[in-house]
Amino acid sequence: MKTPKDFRIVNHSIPRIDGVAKVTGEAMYSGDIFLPGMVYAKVLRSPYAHAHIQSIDISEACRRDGVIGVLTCEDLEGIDPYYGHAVKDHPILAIDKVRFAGEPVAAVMAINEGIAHEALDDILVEYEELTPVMDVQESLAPDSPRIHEKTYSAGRFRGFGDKHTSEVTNICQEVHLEWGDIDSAFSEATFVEDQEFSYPMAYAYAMEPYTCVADANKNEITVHTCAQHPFIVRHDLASIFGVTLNRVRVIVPYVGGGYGSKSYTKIEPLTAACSLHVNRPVKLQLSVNEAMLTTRCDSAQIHVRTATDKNGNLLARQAEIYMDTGAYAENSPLVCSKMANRIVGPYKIPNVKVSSYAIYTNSAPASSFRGFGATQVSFAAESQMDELADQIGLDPVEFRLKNLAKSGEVTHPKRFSGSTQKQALRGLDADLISDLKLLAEALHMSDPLPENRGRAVGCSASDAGSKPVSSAIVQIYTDNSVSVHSGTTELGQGGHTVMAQIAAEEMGVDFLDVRVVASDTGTVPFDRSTGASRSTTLMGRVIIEACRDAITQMLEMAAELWDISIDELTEEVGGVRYNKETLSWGQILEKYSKMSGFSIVGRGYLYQKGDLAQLPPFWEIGCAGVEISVDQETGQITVERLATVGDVGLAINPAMAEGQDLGAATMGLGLGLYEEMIYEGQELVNGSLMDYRVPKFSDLPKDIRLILAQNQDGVGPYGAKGGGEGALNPIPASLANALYRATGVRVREVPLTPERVWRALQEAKNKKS
Amino acid sequence: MKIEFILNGKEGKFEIEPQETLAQVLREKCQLTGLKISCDVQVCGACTILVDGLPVSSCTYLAYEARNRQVETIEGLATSEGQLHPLQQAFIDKFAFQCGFCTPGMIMAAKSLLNENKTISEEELIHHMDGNICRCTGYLPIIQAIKQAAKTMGKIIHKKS
Repeated sequence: MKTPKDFRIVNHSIPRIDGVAKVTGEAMYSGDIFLPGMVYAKVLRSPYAHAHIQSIDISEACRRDGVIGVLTCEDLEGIDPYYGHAVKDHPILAIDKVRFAGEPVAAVMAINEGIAHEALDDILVEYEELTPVMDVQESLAPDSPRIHEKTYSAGRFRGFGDKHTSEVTNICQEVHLEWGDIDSAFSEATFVEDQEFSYPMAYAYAMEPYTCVADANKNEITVHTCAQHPFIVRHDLASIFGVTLNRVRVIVPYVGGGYGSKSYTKIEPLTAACSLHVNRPVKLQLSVNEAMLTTRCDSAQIHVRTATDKNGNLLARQAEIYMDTGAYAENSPLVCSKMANRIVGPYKIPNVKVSSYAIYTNSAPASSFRGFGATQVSFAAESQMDELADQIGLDPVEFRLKNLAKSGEVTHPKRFSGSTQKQALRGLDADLISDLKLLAEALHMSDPLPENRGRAVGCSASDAGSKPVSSAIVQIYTDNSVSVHSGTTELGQGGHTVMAQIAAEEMGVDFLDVRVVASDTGTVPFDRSTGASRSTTLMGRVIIEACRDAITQMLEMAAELWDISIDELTEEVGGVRYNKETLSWGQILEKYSKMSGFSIVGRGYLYQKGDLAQLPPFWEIGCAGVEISVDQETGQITVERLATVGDVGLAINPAMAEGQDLGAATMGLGLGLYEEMIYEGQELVNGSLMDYRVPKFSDLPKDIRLILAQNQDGVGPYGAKGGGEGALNPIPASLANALYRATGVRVREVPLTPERVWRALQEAKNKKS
Repeated sequence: MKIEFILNGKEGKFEIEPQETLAQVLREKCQLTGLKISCDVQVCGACTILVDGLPVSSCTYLAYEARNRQVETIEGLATSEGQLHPLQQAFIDKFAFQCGFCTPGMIMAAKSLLNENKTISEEELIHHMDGNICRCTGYLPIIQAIKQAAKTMGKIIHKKS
């Protein structure tokens, strides 16, 4: 394998390929697309969380000047109006019934957004209110109303092996995991901690709210959209509208942030249905409030018990996880499965039993969110690790080091028959023990603590990468320029820059000679998705394969031109040598084809086989910690120091890899300290950026240490593996653990708002006195 | 109604509706789509442009208010030959964006700070930029970029105010 000294372009912090476009305002996002004849859609949303729709009267709205058409569920006849890649339970517009306040009921198309917005008031909807089910406890009560009254078929991208349940209950998904003998392990244990933790609903706040421009007719559907997974959106549109895959074109321009919230299908079917209805291109751009009601993360109530022997060796972990999944399944079934896997953490635990439940309620649908369940369960598990360490009398870092899985060790063995998934997972492809030592050093964990200060670290391991199915095309031209045709969407993570670096490295051309043609299903081949931190690892591999395919073809051409065998050629950077004569790739192409402007195509495919047969493709490592100070008068937490160790195998672009870690950790600070979607009764009450607080410039930690661990131990290009989520996962627990170190007060619920911390401090004082 | 204002150094006449925001006019009528609409309530700063050199949230600023004023957007920053403004170059050099959605507003806000002041304290920098949200980067690279641009522009950034 090439090592860092061999690289010309890879492993260098090359300025981003989208740099000039993004600093000049030229970068096009979905909302910047204006098609000839385009009209604007606005969505009428239900004010009730749970109600039957008695009637919808659109006549007045249709009469308003400037209104082109109104879409209701009655117009969905002739198509399959349900979507959902895991469970097909989600209607494009509410059919007969609404299941959350904010659910789309109708859409108005008008010549401008203002008229469309005003016309929403002209639509009269009669509802018959039903009892709303607003939390997990209510939902699971024996006499609770059913949120869905019929069963649905499984979606085509469930993502994990179990069968979709066909019973009508409010349990959307349950996942069970078991190995070892949990009962005897707990009975033999010396130290046991047993606690409940609570993690709230949260909003990813991708700064670009969901935006889609659709141009659809009976034969073809084109959408410009901010989707992370264009090929899955294509599949859903084809199945909803009954057209073949080749007649659906999903174009994803630059995306204004995703963080998981733009994975899978969102507003594309509705926008396409609007376009079909009025036979014109339609733009639908949601507000932040509407975006919050479109996707959030699953909240979680987590009951976890962990046991050790007298020396502090982990013996057993048992957990029950209840997620509030909201009104529709979206990706929560898979999040449910991942939470079960990820609560085990990167530790060797011989006896494990976990049950995880995704529960329907009448709140906004939950789905993927950066961290993908790991943030929720790490908050519980890593908080408990510190509590256990204290009980045993071990330093929290020492306690973790003692129990972390070593590189190559299997943390998730073959499961029992009661488990939902049976196979063992890949052994740990990381050296977390070294990572944690680096982290502890960066945070000065062994230094004495000043008053009101606390420090804490945390670790996580996420089975990442999703299903390894990807493909790519590389073209090289007679002028030695290269195009990479890749489905990796550019969300900001730097996917296009990474792919261009890899192609430039492999083809031996300059970075600036590579152009990335991306994320238009009409011009790039299949890629499963841009998520689960998979693109560098999996798309990167396919691009290498496509480059090698192109080079192999050009070597054959050169051998034929020189009339020699391929073995007599020597590959050089950007071309080939025979004796003292050298030809660049472009020269070979021109001489061979006798045609200027000619290009050849290299292809790369990747499937779940070979070294990728065993899932996950890789483990995404979280290793991060904080030092905080606490104002005992106000409960305010200030982050004095943040440190992260990004165990990424090899950073294709070190500055971007560090940027991912800082971005993820900062999101973790937001989630740990302020972020929470608050429902009062049926309604979301903080549905705007006025009321939903995200980290700002002034919240920046005073000292930041970003460390990369590059052991080339991943399955990706040159030993790379994914990053970008890991640094988020341990942060909420680290904050809670650091708060405990600073004050002696344990809070098992995030966010750690000043009010919550202050109340906990008061309670502790009252108990003492 | 017809109004006039100077847009990126050029005088222009614009047909507007009284209720239209400056963001709508610039994005939809002038095809200047660099500024972005995100929160739509003057919190996030993605729609920041300069009016008479001062940063305004164009999402909540009536186009009518811009009459006879100087309006500056991200599209007016680089020279017509494509020479980037020091802030633009610094944002590239320091990896001060990821998705880029906040970037035009971020750069315009920073420009007003650097234009107005010869010396700036770090506290002032953070205070000035606090109305611009970035969800991707964690802010540190943006601060580093603004400092680099300040240096290029002959400004002084010091530790304490």
